[in-house]
Amino acid sequence: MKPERIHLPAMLLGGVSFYGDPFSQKSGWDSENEIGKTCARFITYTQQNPQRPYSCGRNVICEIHVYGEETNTKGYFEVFVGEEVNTARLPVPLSVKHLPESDYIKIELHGQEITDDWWQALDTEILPKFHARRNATYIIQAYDARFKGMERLDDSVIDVYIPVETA
Amino acid sequence: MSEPILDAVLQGLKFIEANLHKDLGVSDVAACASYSQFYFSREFARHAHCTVYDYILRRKLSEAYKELHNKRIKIVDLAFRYGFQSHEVFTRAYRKMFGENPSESRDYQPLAIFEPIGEAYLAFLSGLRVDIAERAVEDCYFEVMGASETIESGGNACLLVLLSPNRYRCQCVFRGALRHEQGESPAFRLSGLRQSARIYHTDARSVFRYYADHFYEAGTIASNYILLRLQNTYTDIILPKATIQP
Repeated sequence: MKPERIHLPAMLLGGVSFYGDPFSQKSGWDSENEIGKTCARFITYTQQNPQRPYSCGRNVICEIHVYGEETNTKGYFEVFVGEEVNTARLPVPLSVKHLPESDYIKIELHGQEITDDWWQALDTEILPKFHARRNATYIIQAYDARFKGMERLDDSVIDVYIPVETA
Repeated sequence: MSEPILDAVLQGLKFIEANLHKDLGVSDVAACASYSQFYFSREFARHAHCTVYDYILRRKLSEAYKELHNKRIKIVDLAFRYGFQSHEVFTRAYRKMFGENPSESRDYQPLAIFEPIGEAYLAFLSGLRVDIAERAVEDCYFEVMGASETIESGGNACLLVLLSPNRYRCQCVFRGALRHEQGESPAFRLSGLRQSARIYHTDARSVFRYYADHFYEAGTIASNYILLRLQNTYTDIILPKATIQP
């Protein structure tokens, strides 16, 4: 894990989402859990629509978890999977997510770290080390060409962004 | 248990059982196990075959159900005792789980109750493989070799679990063998069968409990029995479409 503090401008994302407990039907890192299914829906959409003038073309898929009132009690949250776009006027199958400008703790996860409990380390070690606290109820996991799939996890890398402010 | 996360899941289960009367959230359970909520939820569901919230809810409702049948108690008191915010929220959840309002509860339905997951049953659940595939099973005879009041694990036979008329109580269990032809021994003729699931384990008692907890719907079987066909590495759950003919 290589955490660093960075600043990112506001971002507009276009994609698809799920709300609930993503592990209610299938759990673990099963591609059939609701996170896997949401990713598959978005990837299928991009494959069926290779020409997307609204896409920023960065070849990065963002998986965003948005936590809310029912997260702590029921384990429900929103999973949004999409890509950066240059307009909010998107085709009907896609929805828009606007992420405000913010400081972020960026963590690069390698291999098995991706499936380990890095969330716990985030709260107990990483944020205190940066004298930071979360300033929003979402996190971003960014998948690019360095992610080779769950079957090649040891060769894979993903980036995680946690919006923060100085504690 | 060998895996640390499995120990944490067990710790979480014990924590839930000890706090069923409180307004318990998923984050409380993850915190007690010293894991992040996201990681713990994912692993809990992987090993226990249900989400943390479903487990809390089903356990609270099951204990409330038992109390309702054993004691004279006001439903509103029961709702608050198990941490529900109102009579209405409790009644809605109760109806969803038991198919009837708490004020109408009459026949006690043991098979509808979700019992706590202990260490042995968690070991059974963890890594359990299940195929849900409906397929027809040929008509046959169940040759009876013995009977017991409950499902006994061990052996490589077939078990015919005879249910009460409301199909929510196990009346007795016949041990025997399936035959294509009727022999000299007493036998049940079984027809209109369909395989509902293949569970890759041969601990009959746990297999039956798992099936009852996750898939059993009394209204979907046409007669009052369930057949467990134990093989070397798996157990087939076979359900009737027609009535049993002794």
